Amino acid sequence: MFAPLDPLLHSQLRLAIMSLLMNVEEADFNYIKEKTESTSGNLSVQVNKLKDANYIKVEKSFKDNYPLTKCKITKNGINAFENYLNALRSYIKPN
Amino acid sequence: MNNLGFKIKVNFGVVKIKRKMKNEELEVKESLNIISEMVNASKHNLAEDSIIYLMWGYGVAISAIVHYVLQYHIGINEAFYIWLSMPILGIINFIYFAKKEKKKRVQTYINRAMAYIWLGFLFVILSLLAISPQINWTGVYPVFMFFYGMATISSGGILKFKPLAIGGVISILLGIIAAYLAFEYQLLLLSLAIICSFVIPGHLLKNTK
Repeated sequence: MFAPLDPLLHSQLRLAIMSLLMNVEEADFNYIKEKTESTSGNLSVQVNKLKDANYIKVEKSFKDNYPLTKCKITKNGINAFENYLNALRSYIKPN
Repeated sequence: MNNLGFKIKVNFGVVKIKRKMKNEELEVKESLNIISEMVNASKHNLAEDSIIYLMWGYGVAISAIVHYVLQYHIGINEAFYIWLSMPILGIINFIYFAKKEKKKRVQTYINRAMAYIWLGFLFVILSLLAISPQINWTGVYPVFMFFYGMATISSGGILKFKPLAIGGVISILLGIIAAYLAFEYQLLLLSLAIICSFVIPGHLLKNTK
């Protein structure tokens, strides 16, 4: 009856990161940090987990001598997010 | 006794399952909250670039009226020099977006679509100016008004902001009327077109939150 929820997405910060990236083309690490109100350390760990699962693409570069990390959702990530949404739906009782 | 023990065990099981379901429901709600929060947080800020619409809107509207008054009421034939205001606004515009680009930390579909519409608009306007000696000036202004309209209708659609789209339609209609009038009245209609397509929507955009 209940569809299984992707454990990779069923976590507060990782879900927040994915929801943000679903809505934009690409975002800077600091942008995600500000919007999700998370700490650099925690965000960095969760971003790496999503990257390892190939849900997001991370590009590291420099801008004016400051490190710049850009994140972008992948096709795989979009699919996973949509599946997660569908699974969530199965938990909501129709009235 | 045994019977009772069994019953208690079964009941515990039911309670456990019920509690588990309740927890999951809460988590589902929480998940939905997170998603909607993040969607809201990354929403395009409509008021963001309203200053640019206002700058160009007032710039063109005032220049057109000054041109009209100087040339047709005071009799200065070099009144068209007032349009040198445009390259000045162009430089301000360039600096504004260069600064914004430097601070930009997110790329959205909306930003990209808007950037390309206005880039195309800029090329067309510059090309029109370049070929203006080939066309009669009375033919140039109505076409300007068509392009103001085209760009603001598309922007209004992308931003889901109707006043911009409506202003664009009015600008195109005024362009059609202007094509049948003398140059001096075209100046006034140009001013009116830009007020409808830039100034009014610009003020309305500024007030959206």
